[in-house]
Amino acid sequence: MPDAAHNAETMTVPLIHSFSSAKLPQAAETLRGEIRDFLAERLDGVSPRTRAKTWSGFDPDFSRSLGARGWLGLTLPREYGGGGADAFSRFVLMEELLAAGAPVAAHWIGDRQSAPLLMRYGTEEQRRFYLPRICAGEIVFCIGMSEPNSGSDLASIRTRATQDGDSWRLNGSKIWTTFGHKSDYMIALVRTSGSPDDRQAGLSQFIIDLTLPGISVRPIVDLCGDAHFSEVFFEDVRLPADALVGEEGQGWAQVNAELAFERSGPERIYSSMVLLDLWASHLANSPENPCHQERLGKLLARLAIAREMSIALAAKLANGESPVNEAALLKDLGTELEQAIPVEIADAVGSDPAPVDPELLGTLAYLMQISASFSLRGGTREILRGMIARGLGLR
Amino acid sequence: MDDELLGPFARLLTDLSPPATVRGAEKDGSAPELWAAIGDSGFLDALVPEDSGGVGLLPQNIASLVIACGEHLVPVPVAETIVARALLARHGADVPADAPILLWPLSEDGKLSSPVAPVFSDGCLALVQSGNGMTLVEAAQGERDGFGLPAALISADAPPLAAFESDIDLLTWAAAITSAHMAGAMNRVLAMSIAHASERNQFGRPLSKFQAIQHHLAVMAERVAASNAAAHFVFASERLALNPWRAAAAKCMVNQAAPDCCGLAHAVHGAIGISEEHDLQLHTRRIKRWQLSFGSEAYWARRVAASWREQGGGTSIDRIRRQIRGGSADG
Ligand SMILES: Cc1cc2nc3c(=O)[nH]c(=O)nc-3n(C[C@H](O)[C@H](O)[C@H](O)COP(=O)(O)OP(=O)(O)OC[C@H]3O[C@@H](n4cnc5c(N)ncnc54)[C@H](O)[C@@H]3O)c2cc1C
Repeated sequence: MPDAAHNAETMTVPLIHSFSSAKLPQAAETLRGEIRDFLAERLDGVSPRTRAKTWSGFDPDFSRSLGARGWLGLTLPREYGGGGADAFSRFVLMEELLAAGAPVAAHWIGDRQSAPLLMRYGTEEQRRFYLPRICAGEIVFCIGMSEPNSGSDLASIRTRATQDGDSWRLNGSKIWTTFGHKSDYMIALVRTSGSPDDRQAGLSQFIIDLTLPGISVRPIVDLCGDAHFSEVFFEDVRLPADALVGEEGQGWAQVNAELAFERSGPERIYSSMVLLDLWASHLANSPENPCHQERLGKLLARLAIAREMSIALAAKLANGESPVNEAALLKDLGTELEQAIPVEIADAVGSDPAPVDPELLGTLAYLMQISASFSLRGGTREILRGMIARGLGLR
Repeated sequence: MDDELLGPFARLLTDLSPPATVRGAEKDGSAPELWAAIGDSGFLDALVPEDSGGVGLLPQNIASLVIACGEHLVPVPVAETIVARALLARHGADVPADAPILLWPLSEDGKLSSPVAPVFSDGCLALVQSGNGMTLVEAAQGERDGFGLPAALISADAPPLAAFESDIDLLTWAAAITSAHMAGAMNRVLAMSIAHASERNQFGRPLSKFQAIQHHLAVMAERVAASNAAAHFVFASERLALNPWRAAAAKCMVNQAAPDCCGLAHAVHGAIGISEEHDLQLHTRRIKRWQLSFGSEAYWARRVAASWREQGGGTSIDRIRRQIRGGSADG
């Protein structure tokens, strides 16, 4: 018998067993009803074409109303304005927001990663200053990681903060900053010592007030004509000492913790839901076509299982774990499904030369174009597969 | 409960269902030592209530056990017999002492609901379902099929050894068991591929150091993780009647995942993987046969999609939530 097979006898692959059944507790399901009532009222009359944007729908007023109901910072401690709830409740909230196509951009980043990052690494003053306002939906955060010459290779960034007496002087630029042009604060990863050759060493995180002198922001228009990201330039920006987040030189470890918050949410499977639902309801109101039913069923089956896996991930988060590799695995699987939805629907819609409902066509066109970004933002497919390979013990 | 059970059962399979036994059983359906040991272990009455002399487990407790059967390509119908014995016991039918029992759901035209028949196992019976009618009959060994396995046969006029009525759907069970078997076999295919990539050197380094190979294995891991999640999802029931929508979604999803998993495994193994001598083909050949067993992805997709033609409204997520509720541990 060949050796490899023999060795495989005793081998187990723990990563793949991380997703077996978890169950949403009743408290989380109770929250669902309240969220749905709220969304039904708030989104009444908003077209699918607009709702399909969900992640890039920017509506501070909407975000403030969520805050007023206690739905921002849901898992943060109450003493900082949070909801003190668990990861399951957050899963349900995210699920309902994304399925409905709610405009979540104005609070998405602050709620998902900036607030948890500050909770973990911030000083008590920073927590008291920022967290209650994030939870109220009053301040908007953006992520300053990527630079023109540093994308996947994040450790090669060149934006630099140099110590200048009590404060810091910041020079450089960030790019692809989601809603940088509409944000109040950026949490940025920058170099504070050494050179790009030092890689992960010498990096630090700062919280940057985007109204400071020396900062300019240029929105970037995407292929659909929307400006949801931007380039942010820093020219001799003076940052106060308390802009430093966590420890100087510990930026790499911190940013990885931040990326774990970014990647481990359930949102990575639901970006095409508005289109899927719109198409499915068209099918349901038309004579039955077995071909289309099969396409729909295959997508729903994948969705149902991806959702189970997402709930299993929420269980790990609720348990205080940091399931980084599992999150990478689910994100890659989830974005593949999000991207398959417009592909399948385009084939179905185009299989019949008859005219299509303009709202469906517009929503489909939007997702056919924007879906390429789903496997770029938050770490590319190739980078995630490298992480999964590490989780399998190959690197 | 699941894990406490699994340890001893998995050890039994490691000892008594090695590839040599699987190869032997592929020829004539016999694995007497293995079947006797499984019978002695008491696992066959896992789903029979305690007051009827069984172990009194629920479907949700045996998911890992069925997955393990797939992992070891157990050449006897363990899970199928567990289900059949639970049904026989529930209806007060005589439970044959030690026969393996196949599940044989008939479609409306009276034919088996699967283009490939269950694999024959020495001395096996078949629990045949037509509508609500169940009959237990003897099965015979048929020809070796296109996959090289001995398919079982039943004859239309076989005398029933037991007969009763039940609304528990055998096709749902067969699809669920097949999904879990596929997930298990895929676990082993992934483990074998990782081991092979780590040991085989080309260009002066192990295959596992090439990024292209790492990405193949990462994609396999996604398919395998999802298939295992699907297997647990379909078994997550506190009742002997599994939720049919869960079974439809699970088989539909696992069937979509399997070709990627097998294709990439063979890519990683190179030529050795398609040799008869290597164990990889034992698993991938069986997975492909299971793809055809008890409904393909398209078959189950139509069932899954029917949820969009039912009353109640709502989004896809609402419909999924509604469908998975019935019969499940979620109550
Ligand atoms: C919609 C959207 C929103 C974004 N928002 C933000 C934000 O708010 N803040 C922020 O900081 N960034 C943001 N980004 C940037 C995002 O993080 C980067 O796009 C991503 O990290 C990839 O970097 P890149 O685009 O420079 O591509 P590159 O790194 O140049 O990659 C190009 C291709 O090469 C591949 N590649 C690179 N390195 C390797 C390797 N080692 N092995 C194999 N393949 C490799 C990549 O996978 C990719 O396929 C956003 C991007 C998008 C699309």
